[in-house]
Amino acid sequence: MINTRWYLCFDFETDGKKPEECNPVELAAVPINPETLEIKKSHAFNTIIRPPGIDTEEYFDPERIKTIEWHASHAGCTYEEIVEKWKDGMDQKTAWKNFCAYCKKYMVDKKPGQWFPQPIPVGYNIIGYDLLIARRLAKAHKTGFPMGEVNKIDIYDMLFSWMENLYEPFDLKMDTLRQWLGLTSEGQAHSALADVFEEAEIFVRFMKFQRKQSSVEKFKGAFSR
Amino acid sequence: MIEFDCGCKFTKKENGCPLFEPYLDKIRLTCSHTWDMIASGNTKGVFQLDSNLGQSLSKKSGPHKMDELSDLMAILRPGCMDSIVDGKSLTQHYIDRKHGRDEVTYLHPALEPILKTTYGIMVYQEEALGIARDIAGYNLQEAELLRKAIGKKKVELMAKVKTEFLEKTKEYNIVNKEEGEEIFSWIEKSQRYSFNKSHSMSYAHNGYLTAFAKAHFPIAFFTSWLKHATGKQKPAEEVEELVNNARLMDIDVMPPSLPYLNRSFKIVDGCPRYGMTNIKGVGRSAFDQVLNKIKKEKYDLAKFTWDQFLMKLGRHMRKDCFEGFILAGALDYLKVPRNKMIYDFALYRDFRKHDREYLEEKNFNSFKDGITSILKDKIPNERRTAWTNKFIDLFNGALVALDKPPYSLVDLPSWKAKQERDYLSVELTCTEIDEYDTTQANCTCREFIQGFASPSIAIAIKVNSVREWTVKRGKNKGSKMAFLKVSDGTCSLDNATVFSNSWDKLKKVLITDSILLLRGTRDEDQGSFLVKNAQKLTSAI
Repeated sequence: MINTRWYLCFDFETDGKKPEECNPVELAAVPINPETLEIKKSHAFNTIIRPPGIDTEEYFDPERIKTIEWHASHAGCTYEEIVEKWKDGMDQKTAWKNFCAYCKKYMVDKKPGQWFPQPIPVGYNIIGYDLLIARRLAKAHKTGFPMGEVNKIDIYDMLFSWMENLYEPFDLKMDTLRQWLGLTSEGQAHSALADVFEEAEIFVRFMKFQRKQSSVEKFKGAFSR
Repeated sequence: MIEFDCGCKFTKKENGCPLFEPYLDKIRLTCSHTWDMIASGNTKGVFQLDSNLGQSLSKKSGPHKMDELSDLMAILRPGCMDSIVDGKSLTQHYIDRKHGRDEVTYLHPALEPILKTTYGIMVYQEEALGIARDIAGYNLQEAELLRKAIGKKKVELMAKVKTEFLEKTKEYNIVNKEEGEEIFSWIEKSQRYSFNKSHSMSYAHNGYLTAFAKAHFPIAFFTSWLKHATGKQKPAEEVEELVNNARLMDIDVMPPSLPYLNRSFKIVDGCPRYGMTNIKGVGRSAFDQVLNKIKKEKYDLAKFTWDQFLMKLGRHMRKDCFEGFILAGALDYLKVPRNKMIYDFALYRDFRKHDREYLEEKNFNSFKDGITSILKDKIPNERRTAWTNKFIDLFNGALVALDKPPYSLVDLPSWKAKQERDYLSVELTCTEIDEYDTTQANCTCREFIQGFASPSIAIAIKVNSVREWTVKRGKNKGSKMAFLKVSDGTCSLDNATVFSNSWDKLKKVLITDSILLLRGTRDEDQGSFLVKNAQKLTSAI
């Protein structure tokens, strides 16, 4: 099997912790060439999304205020600046539809043995978080899900399978890994685009490692007596 | 009406495509240009020689007169191809004898006058009749009855006619009994494949006429063929083959362009140009709707900017039709990247019907001005509803989206090529290979077909299909080899061959859709490209 579907590493930044309720405030994605595993940084997607209701007082409940403060502390700016940034963002429907159009650009031709043309979603903890938000947006804006539903690669799970029996790193939080793997961040941590680039780097490094380890000779007939 | 000295005329332009109407009695059957084209195998679109087999046999057989073309029409029929004698088909026997590779032999010297033109091979039914006449004394009417009786394959009838034939040969005394029996069995076998000569000759005549049209009026020829490709069993493949064939003859088929307002393929500025309904997803009624609007409003499309075009015509087209226009390149004359047009159109589509009407009625210079005006002048005068805020958000979002697109709206060649393949069946303005570093290549597919000669040939290509084949004869019997169909922006090669010694090491690289640099040589006998090595190309973007 030779995969020809693009990998799309994506990440949401949100205004809350619960994926069922929070509003996405930033969305970033970067395509990865399936053949060469080249990260196409110049073709990345990045947009700030204006959370619905941000002009009203009700929006700023204690939980959200905490989240905004958390974003401000990581971005090294003030609470007000974060709110202004979000207010200047694109409305959710336009942003999501733009993302769908972007994903469409990375669809491959259907052919025998290749029934799913959509890009394969990749990201950190996407199964438990980002994919849930993405599905919610697809449903709310009636767009259909723009990425592959069957194959998905959660880097968190991928790393877990390699490191579940090692003393280091202590945990698999992105911040811990960033330090432990010696990643030199190109931008601000917890900005969606910078996170996506780092996640893509980790993904590509481990995919290359896996490709080196795997070979037909190693697997073929492995269970034969 | 345009008349030519060569005995051809073109009459009544049908949607821009002149009809070819040759004067049958005047046309020269000795045009060397036409015969050279047929003999080179460039017979795509030529009556009866259109298929890959027809093209290949035309090249192998190399006819240069009507009799030879008639022979070709007869020997490319399945019966002749499937009749194996001494390990090869009668078709191959004919070709080998014609080119002097095999000796021309006759069962009996008396057969030479009859079979001389077909190099001792019984190709036509008329030859069987001639044999019956010359060695058994049948008149032609009796000979035809004999031939028909043999063709029936009824045992009793066969025994009867055989006895009669042998008795007559004995009376005529040109061949002995054994030779007579062998000739009879030969006629019997020939019934499976032999073809009626008058039928074959009329095919040859029609074939020559179409070849003449192709050789002398290629632009009109290709325009007409492309126009009627929709009626073929596999229209997309037919269009692709015709476009590639046209490229070989230095004719570039141009993508559709809306200002020409042509419904179907048409000759524009000396080139065949796609029509708007040749775009996948754009039907006749959809195009008529746009056409009527343009004519009614007397729009001068050439003077429109993209933003004006979007606001004036965006609501008069279905989504798939509008997207088809953009992705097929019909709006490229507006000098805006296709990605940007698709992006703007997606924003526009989310607007309410009356907002789109507002944008059409007012003559805004830019889309952005239009949206700003909706927010400032239109919405404040509307009755506020529960939805108003939602739409204000949408318009503000659209303004942000226009100012800061979330991704690059530059058109990449691979994306454009894919869209053109989807909407036009063939890549016209660019190919995926344009994204790769091809400096190591020393030849293109088109140059190879036109005879590029070098001890080592390197071509940058995309693999379109791979056909694995088991070797049936020779020292490599049982091993695998492969035939590739590859293409670049200039043309396609249908006959790249990977022999078994190279196939084993290259099969992991030679995968459909991969972009590669193929190194190899020319097979001087077959004219095909022999692949010796293949390497992946590196991206240049």
